[in-house]
Amino acid sequence: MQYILTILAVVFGGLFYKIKKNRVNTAVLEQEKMKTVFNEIDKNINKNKELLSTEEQKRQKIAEEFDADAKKVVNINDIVDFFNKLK
Amino acid sequence: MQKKLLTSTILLTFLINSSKIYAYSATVGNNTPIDRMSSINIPITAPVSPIPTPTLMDDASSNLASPADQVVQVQAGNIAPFGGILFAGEKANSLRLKVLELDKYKKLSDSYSMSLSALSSNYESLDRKTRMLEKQNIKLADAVEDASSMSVWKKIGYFALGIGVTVLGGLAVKNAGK
Repeated sequence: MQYILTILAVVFGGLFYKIKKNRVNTAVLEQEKMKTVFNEIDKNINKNKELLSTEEQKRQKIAEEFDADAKKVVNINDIVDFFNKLK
Repeated sequence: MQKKLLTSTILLTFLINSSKIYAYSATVGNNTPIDRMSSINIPITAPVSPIPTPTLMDDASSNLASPADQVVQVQAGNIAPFGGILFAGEKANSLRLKVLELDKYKKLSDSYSMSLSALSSNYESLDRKTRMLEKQNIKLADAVEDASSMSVWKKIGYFALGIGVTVLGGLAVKNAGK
């Protein structure tokens, strides 16, 4: 009987340990998976932020170029040239 | 005065089939008076020539099929080589600026479209991240609740286990007494 009790205790103990370990493993795996996805998302966000900053600079440059063109003193040849190059 | 008028005259001709600007035709004859030209205030550096022939621009546009495909500079008294529209230098410059402005707005619009798509992509990424975190949060909350309180089945299981252990213990004691 003592043997039976010992065997039962070992079996139940092993079962509980296995269940607990599986749960922890699953949680750790899920956490790792999430970390990978989050890293990808953050990378994408940073890339888009860089793109936004580049576009902002581009817009500033466009505005500056236009201002410079508007202020530029032009002669008739420049104007004729401009319209001839217009597609 | 005549000289001033001569120096400040420009003829911009746009072909009806090739230009963005469509308008009525006009021709300038030998003695056509041009009163509006006195209002030009942009600097004119083109050389003044008394020769009554229109000056064709000979640079990038010289490979065009016909002279009428070009914008040509003429002076007062010149005979226009083809029908078209005559602009004063000032007006032509303002037209040039309008074209540049339109070009600027097109470029800005393209840039804003790009920014908008980047922002919406960021919004989608952040939304995905939030949803994942929310799911994880719910899971963790469930796990905490699970750890702090036992479910009905768990209670029944532990109770049955207790009964089994007691019965087996009793049996063991009984067998040991024999």
